[in-house]
Amino acid sequence: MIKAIAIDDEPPALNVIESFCAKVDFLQLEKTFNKPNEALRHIEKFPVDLLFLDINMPSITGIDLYKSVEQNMMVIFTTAYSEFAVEGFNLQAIDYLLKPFTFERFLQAVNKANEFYSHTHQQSTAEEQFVYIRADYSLIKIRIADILFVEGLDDYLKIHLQNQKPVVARLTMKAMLEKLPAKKFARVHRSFIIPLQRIESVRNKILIIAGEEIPIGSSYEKSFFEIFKV
Amino acid sequence: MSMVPPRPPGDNFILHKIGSNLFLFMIVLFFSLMLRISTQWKKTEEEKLSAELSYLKAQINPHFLFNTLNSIYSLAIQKSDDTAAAVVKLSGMMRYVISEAHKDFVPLEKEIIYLRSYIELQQIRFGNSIVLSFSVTGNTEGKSIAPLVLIPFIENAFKHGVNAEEDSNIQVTISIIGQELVLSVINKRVFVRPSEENKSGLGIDNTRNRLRLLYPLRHKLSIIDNSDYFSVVLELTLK
Repeated sequence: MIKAIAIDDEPPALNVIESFCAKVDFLQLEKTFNKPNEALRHIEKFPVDLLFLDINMPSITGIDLYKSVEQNMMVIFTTAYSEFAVEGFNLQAIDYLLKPFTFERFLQAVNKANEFYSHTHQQSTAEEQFVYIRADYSLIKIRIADILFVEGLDDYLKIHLQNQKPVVARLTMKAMLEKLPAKKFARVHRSFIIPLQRIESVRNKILIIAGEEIPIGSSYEKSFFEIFKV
Repeated sequence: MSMVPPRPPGDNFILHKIGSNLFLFMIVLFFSLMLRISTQWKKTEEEKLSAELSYLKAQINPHFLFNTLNSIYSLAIQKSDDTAAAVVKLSGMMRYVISEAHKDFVPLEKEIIYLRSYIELQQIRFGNSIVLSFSVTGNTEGKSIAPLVLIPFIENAFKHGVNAEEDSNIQVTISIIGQELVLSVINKRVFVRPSEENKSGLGIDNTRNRLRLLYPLRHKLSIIDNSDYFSVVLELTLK
């Protein structure tokens, strides 16, 4: 499912997009905005996959708005003007719709977005599923989902796994952390990296994962609680 | 044989000299006159051109046209009862521009219907987010006006008075007393990013020229532009 929002200063234009999105099963239009600044604040908190963006608005052009979005999102520009097309494509827009547009033309644009989305999405899930670790003179494939936590021991580190023997590898904590998906793992101590979703409880700067107690180091405390907001 | 005495050099030489100087003087005078006439001619030509330009610019702006069409399209998709009326308004505006606007003068009634349609279509585009009022008082019958001289001031109010991020307020009043027409347009100023098409003043400057040509000594235009609001009052003596 592709999550989308639409931004246009003219409400009737938003109504068109809304009714077209309702007819496409892989699209979920979460919200529409006629105030671009409100939309920007919303995107920061709740990122989406696709933006429908009007180019000609009084407070900001859709092009500048898209440039100011930090997250990676697909964009389909909509406009009643045609002279902006070239710049739209320079920004790697998925497509560019001239208002008024038919449902068929709209479908063509969102199908392109869908192809692009599933293409990039497949790649990232394949990349994120496994990590390869050099240990015992061989390259070991480890399923990221099996990792309970990583424990640092001087020059070595020990990767504790679910229902398997731990893997001991000659690797620094920093190098290990870089191999793991940044959104899912956090370093909580000089000697511990943990997968966030396996945290069972947190009490007095102690985490419990798979029954093991893992301390939170004082220098990691701040960054950990920023990610792990309660 | 007597010698022909040489002619005294005096008379003829002086005459000759005066003649050639006069000739030079005449040439200079001639060219300076030509120059003056040609600059004058150029100036009137430029004024005419600018008036023509302002007239062309006063015709339906493509940005307005396509966004309005999209709004009507949106009404049609929702099967709204307002669709039909909106189509009639837009087609009325187009008919006016195509078949009336090239005339020197048109019935005042028609110009006002054009303004009303423009304002009502803008209301459809921006919804209830803009506070808008339009009123006409007095008798329009039997009066005529140069076509499209009023619309630039109303377009200007929308250009500088509508931004979805802020509250908008646009008030247009037309009052007719005898042969005197007073148009007043007031809009609350909102932030509008600078762009080519929004360059302030251009449309109004051209219209000012057009008024000078069409209503010499029979109009008065006062504009107040401060940080809070923009106000235009145009007084015209109609024919």
